[in-house]
Amino acid sequence: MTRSAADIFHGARELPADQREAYLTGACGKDVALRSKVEALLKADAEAGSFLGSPAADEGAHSQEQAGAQIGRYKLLEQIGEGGMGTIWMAEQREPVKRRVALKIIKLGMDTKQVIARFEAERQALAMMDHPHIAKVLDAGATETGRPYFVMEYIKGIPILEFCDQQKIDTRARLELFTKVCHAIQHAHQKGIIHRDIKPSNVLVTLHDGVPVPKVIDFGIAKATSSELTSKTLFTEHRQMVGTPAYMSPEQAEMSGLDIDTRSDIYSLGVLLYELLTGTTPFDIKALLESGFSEMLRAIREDEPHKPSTRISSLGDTGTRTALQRSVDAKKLSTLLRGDVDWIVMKCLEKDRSRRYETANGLAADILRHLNDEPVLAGAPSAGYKLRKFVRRNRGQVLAGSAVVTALLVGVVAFAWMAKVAGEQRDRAESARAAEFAQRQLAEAARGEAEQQRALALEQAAEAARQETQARKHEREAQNQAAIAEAVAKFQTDMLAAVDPDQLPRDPLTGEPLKDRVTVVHALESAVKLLDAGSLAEQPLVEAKVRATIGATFQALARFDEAEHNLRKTLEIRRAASPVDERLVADAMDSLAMLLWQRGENDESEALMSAALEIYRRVLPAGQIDIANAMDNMAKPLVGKNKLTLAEPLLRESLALRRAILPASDTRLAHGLNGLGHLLSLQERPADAEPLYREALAINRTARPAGHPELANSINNLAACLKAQRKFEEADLLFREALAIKRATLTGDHPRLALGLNNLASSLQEQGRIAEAEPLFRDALAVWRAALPGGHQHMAMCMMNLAQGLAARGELDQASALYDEALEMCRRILPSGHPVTVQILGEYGSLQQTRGEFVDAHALQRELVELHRARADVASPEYTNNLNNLGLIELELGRTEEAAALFREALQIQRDTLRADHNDTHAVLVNLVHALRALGRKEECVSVLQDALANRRSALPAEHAQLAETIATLAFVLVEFGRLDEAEPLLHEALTLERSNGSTGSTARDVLAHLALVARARGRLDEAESLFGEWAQLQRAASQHARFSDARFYNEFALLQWERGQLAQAEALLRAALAVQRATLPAPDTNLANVLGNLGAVVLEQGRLADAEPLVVEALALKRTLLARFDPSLLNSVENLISIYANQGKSAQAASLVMELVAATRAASPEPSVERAAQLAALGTALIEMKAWADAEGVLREVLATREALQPDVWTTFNSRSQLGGILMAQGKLDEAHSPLLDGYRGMKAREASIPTQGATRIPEALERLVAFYEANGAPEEAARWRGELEAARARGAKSDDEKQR
Amino acid sequence: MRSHVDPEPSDATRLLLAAADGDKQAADQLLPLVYEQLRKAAQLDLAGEAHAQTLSATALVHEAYLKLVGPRDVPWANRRHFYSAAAEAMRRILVDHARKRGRRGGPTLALSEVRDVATLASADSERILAVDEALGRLEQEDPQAAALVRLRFYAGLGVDEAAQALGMSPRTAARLWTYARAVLFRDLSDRS
Repeated sequence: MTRSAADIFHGARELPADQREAYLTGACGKDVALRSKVEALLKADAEAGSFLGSPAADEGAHSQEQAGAQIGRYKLLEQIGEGGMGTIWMAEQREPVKRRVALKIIKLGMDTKQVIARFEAERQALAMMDHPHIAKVLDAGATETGRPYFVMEYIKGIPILEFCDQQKIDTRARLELFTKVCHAIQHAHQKGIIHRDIKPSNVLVTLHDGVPVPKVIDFGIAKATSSELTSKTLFTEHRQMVGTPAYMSPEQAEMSGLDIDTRSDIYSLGVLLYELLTGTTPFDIKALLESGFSEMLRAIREDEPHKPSTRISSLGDTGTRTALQRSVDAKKLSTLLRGDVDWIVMKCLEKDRSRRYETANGLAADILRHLNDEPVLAGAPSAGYKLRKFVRRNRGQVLAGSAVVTALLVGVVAFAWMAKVAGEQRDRAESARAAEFAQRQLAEAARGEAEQQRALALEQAAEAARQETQARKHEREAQNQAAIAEAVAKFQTDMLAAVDPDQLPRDPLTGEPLKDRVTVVHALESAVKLLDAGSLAEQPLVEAKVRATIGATFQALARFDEAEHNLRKTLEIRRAASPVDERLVADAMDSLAMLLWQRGENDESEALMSAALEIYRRVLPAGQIDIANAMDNMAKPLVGKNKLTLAEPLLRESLALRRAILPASDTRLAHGLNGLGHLLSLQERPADAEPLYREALAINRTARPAGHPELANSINNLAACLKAQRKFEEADLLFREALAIKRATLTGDHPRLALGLNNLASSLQEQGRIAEAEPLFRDALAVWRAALPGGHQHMAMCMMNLAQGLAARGELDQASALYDEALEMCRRILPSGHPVTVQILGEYGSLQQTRGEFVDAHALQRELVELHRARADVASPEYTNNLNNLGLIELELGRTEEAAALFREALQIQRDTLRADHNDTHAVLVNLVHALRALGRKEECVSVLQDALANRRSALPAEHAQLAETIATLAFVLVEFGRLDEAEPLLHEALTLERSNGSTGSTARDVLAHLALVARARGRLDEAESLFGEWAQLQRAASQHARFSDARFYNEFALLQWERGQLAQAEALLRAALAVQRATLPAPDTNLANVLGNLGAVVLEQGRLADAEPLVVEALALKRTLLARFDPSLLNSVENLISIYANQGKSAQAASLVMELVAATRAASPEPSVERAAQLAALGTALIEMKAWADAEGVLREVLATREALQPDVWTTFNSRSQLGGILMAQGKLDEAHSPLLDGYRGMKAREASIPTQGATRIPEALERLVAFYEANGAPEEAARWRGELEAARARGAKSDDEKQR
Repeated sequence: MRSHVDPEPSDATRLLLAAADGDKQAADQLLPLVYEQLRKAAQLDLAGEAHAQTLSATALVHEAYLKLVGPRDVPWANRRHFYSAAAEAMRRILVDHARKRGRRGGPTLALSEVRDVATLASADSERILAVDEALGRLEQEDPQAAALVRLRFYAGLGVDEAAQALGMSPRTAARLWTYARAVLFRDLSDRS
């Protein structure tokens, strides 16, 4: 076989020529053909030469470079790699030590002597390298074929990029790993070794005890082979090893080959870092190569690559996701400041190497600074920037919304600097102004109402800082920056030094205070202590200003008590100052008012703001933007108190002022437009808000650079406003645009990106496009989860949105799980009773309610009720809905009393808060009535309805449509309670109202049906029929909306027709009733059984036995499962069925049915009782009618025994005796029959007065039996006498029937 | 704010990705595209005597690959389809090249000097066609070995890359390569 020929071939090939013969003989045996084939192959192999590949390029497959081959002191073991330069082998060294090494054999084509000479020149330096992250180069030499080779420490690792991707290493860990690489390179540089070929495949990573350890390989090799890097060889090279030029520094791209220093390695490190972070190299190799080799070199020398953050966002969805997964996903380095990383990488990639990091350690140090939230050197060391880092570093357990904190701290420190350096040096005054500018911007942000606006302001400030930095090129600016930085650093130190170590969290093991857990709060608390101790007592106005800033910071940290303390102090100091600077007082009032507004203290806030506004109007020249801002602030507590109509003129005036003093394209005008637009939206006037939002957006589109966050915000406002007007098409376009901006400008893990996704998804979901919304919600959640692992109210809202969508498409378990998570989050992060919590509780409660999880739903709604009560928020529609829902759950749980109380409470609140014609009022009323009916509290039920009606009558005009529903409800209840006289005029009134309103809805139909019921009960059958007729007509028209209660009226109508002998109509109506029931009832109930029984009876009465049978059988079966054993209705069906069987000659079947029921009765009540006797007696009677005498005798004897023992003096006992006599007689036992017949009759006769109407036929029946007995006994005289008695009795019965008829 | 947009994937990339998903049709459609690229490259480079020595099939194929796909991070599973197609295209280029030239042809080259595609291309037509036919026979006998030769010889892949493409260890590939080479050499020696 071929395979074995191949195997033998290989076997032989590995042996020295002199051993082959023996081997072949053994392997091929007598197979001559096989042997000659193998021999031919061996010969061909020996002769093939360069066939299909020169030996040099024929890696490993040829002569010397085979496993087992000896090269110098090294024995090749296994080929472990192959690259453009050659092959890499794992080899074994035996002398002087036995160890594994890696052998890199360079391809032919190089001047081996030169290569080795260059290597030797650097050999000593190489030998001096001793670093854990460097693979040592041990040796170099030439193979027998003259190819150079290098011997290195053997590393069992994989290239760094592969490693990071495989292990899904997050950005932070990548950066940390990368710093180790930097240290390795630094070490080499210190020994005078430049690597020259740093690239991912030259940085291998191994795991030591789970810790990734990088090893840089190939030191010295590039240098040794470098003179070969001419354009021609590189050309060939790059084509074979795509990617290498990507790591090449611009000076390497100069191709001079001479001017290379350590900073080339820094550049390559930058490229490596770039790729680690973004998954791509800075230059688009494809584009470069398409335009040619020289173009590629030119680009490397001249083009500015995209910043890593820009690259990530430009990679599109897939790219972003990949990047996310590589860098951020697993870890919560959520607020990774993209500025830092960009700056660091771009500093490495500077074309001018003097602007790169001087050393690899410098690069590593900057990365570590970034990781520790310290300012990096790479970026612009503006005051704002450094302080931002300060806050982040000291964030500790502070808030998720650190952006705000950051913004405010800039203010703190910038001011502190001012306080310290004021008057020191005049040329620093400019810096002070710059700092104050930043402070003002940020203070403005602090006053902003929404978190988003603050974040926005921060971005503006940061952006401004960045631009500012770029602008500052000249020397003096640099000096200023240095001064700021110095002051800032000093203050940081002071503030941190002042932190009381006792207040720091302690290491649980050592008990040492954890310095790195110093938080902003600690720092601020220390600052306040300094102030309270009088550190600035001689400079009260300075103290006021410091306190103002500290107060604002505490406010942002949601430490409202501390904030208030400091802001009040500020105001106090400024008021006491002499002379009073009114402007400063107004500023302090303004700040305090905004804090109080945020705390919900709207009254005081309004008063302060009103005073502040008065001052501003007085002291500021007219037409100042500050006045407009103050008016906006004044509007806030008013909005907080829901005095929207008072807020509106203020916002309008503010807007008018802005229009008057600002150019039409000023973004501050857009701000005013958005403010008023927001108010109008709150007033649910989106149509009025729309033009304002549009104008604001137009301004932002011109004034803001594409992709500015404020532009996205403005787009979002308009979109939301359009969505509120259900103008979904345009809304969606805008939501998408806002989202696109966010995608392009924000990191993939930015919360505002999540918000954008959520907004678009909400709009889609509101249009019912649930399937489209769902993935967006999920994306949004994923972003949030990565960005804010602690949770956020927006995230909870998003979960709720998604849960609603899931619930809508029936994924109830998933929806529940999300609600659970959202609720848990709310409880953890939001103050008790937060509106978001309330909303989620309500939604979740409703879901559990619809799912029938009443116990869960109860807990949720109960909690919600408590929340509302705790917040004294008991006038809201949400609260009454909540009460109502809880009431419905209590009903389901059988706690009707509790339900009634809840409905009552809800109704009372609604009566105080809602307009009388509000639909919710009626719904709650109906629920209350339902509960009271269930409780049997008829009077209360009627009086509640009468109250409600009186209430509506007094509030609504007489012809108001909604009066009808209340009137009708009252009337229905009255009909139900048999108070027909009171009901009838109300029904007529309701009908008139409904007719005048042209209504044919369910109320109109129910009113007609009830009128028909009343007419029928009053014996006005024609009227009843015509009313029912009208009802049935409306009913047919509304058949789509049939409710199961409609079946009841069909049934009543049918019974009326039946009474009137209209059997066919009755049947049709009953069939209609049945259809409604089958369509609407979740499970068969007694109503269905009754309708079936009635239908069976009507069909039977028309003589269609076969049609009737299945109906009656089904009815009986249902009744037997649903009813108490001897409900008369069950007996009706039994009788009907017996009648059917009897007529079909199936008497045995009928008898066995009855006996089955007898057995069931005995089993159901094992002890003899009056009740059981009555049930058995009824069955006995049926057996008598069927002439099943033997069975009847047994049953009757049992009945009689019970009755004689328990009720010897009741007429039914004697009836049973008479019946037993009849049975005995029928069986020919005449002797035995006589006495029971006679006694039975006499007993009944003596108790005739106590016999109810239904039993009226029993005496004549007893007499019939006596007549028959005497006739059978041959006693005609006696028989005649009893016949006389019989006729008299019948006459009496007929007479009493007549009386009843009248 | 600048926003960098990557161009839409080229037809070849799209097909490549589809082919990687096992879309046979896509693989078939891919071939002409690759062929066209390589044909252009081959015309340019094979025609120039001066370059013929320095430009290897590897360079050509990588060049074509870059032009088609770019240096994006296409998984190896995908590139494998590309290289298979590229090898096939290169083989056809040579065969078409030889048929067009007819019996005329370049210098007669010793079999042991047929180092790579470029040297083969410069060889006489008969040699080119003979190599192709021998490869066809090897295919009958051992398809794996033939596939390896295609990838190594026509697409210029290294042993490692070819091994990965064929899902075998480099060691196995190296052995198979030695064997296939001997088989082909014997076959061609016997017939010439």
